[in-house]
Amino acid sequence: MTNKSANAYSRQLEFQLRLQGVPRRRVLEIISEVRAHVRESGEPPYDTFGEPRAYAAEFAQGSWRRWTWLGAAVLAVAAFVASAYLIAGEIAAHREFRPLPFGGRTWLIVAVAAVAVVVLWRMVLIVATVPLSTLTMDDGDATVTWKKWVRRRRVTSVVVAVVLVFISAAWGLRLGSTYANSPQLRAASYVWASASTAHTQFDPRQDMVAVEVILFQSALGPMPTIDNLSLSANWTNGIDDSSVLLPYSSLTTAVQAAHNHDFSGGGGNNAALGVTLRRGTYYVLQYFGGFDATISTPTPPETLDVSYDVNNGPFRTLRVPLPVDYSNI
Amino acid sequence: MVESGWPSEWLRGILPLCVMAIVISGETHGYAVAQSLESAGIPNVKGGTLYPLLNRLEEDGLVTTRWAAGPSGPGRKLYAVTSTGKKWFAERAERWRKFSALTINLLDEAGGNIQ
Repeated sequence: MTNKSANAYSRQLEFQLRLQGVPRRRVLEIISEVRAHVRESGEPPYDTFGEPRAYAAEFAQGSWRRWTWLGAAVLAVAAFVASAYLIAGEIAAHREFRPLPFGGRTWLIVAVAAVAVVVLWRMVLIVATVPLSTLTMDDGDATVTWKKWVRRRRVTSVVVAVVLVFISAAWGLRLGSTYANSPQLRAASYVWASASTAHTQFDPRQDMVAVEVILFQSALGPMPTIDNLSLSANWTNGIDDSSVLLPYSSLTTAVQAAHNHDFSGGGGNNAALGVTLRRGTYYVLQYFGGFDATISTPTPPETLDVSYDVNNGPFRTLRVPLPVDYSNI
Repeated sequence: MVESGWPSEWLRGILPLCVMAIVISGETHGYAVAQSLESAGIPNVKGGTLYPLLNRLEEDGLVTTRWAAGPSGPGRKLYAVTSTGKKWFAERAERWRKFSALTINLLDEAGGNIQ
């Protein structure tokens, strides 16, 4: 009777000790000691040692491993969310020539994935832990109860792990697709052009074209620095690169500024280059240049096609009807 | 003159010193400590109290352990005092003597007043 309950107690204690992160060797020691005590004293183990969980806790005090389960769950979610996000970001970046999330640091993705694997492996180890000292014991009812208990625990753990993986992967993919769908540099394009067939401004043979783009950073990741701007038009053979970047605190004010365009903000040659965008700020990027309409276009076209790119992203083309109708801008 | 059990809050305070007193008189194992405590008049110290206590003494470096193969079945864990343990015991035992002298004194005075 005592032997039987000692076996049952040993199993439960062992499971609790391992669950609470007590090292293998210590587990065997503690259990051997319990068994020796029970054998010599003849006392029922539950009476003298108390509940296995509480007794195990006496030996696991201060052990960081007690938090293994919680830590593993949190880390697993974080790792899955992050890796799914990064992967989705990578895909979006390659597809749409967007800057990579977190600056495209591949090592970061590898590190996050490695953490995810390690965490999962740890969870698998915990779930698949085979009781150490109980394999050779064989005593009917207690064994059956114990096996049932372990099985239930494992099933629960596997279910929890699977749910965690799914939830976090779904979350990460959602975040990632948000990234994919949110323009890193959203070019809401407002075009102001003085181009017209009338050649009323400046030199009649020359005209100015200005493209205004509103830039803002809506995705996570480091803020981009503008290091390249280019502008071309279908009927000019020379646009001077000249740009100005004006910050606004809201999209509305930025749009207004683009509407009420003027060049008084200064600028000069490539003033926008080298500027690192700030989060939460909307920028009106004006870039403009003079072109010689008469030389390149003997017959003035009906539209002005302006292509532009920022940081070697995909070219976007704006088709502006000529003469420019300001009411549509 | 074995009492049925001392108040557990008393035991919590003095048990480490008592256990050390037993270990200091010779290498011993857990159940033997319990038996010694019992024959010393401190019965019913549960395994659930004793072994975690021995474990803490070991962690604090007051006792050292080794495994000895038993004549039957698995081996036993043997506890022996360390030099740190001896120092600790000497100091604590001395302080306890003073402490108990003070409390006895106090109780005697109160007892005199009752009578």
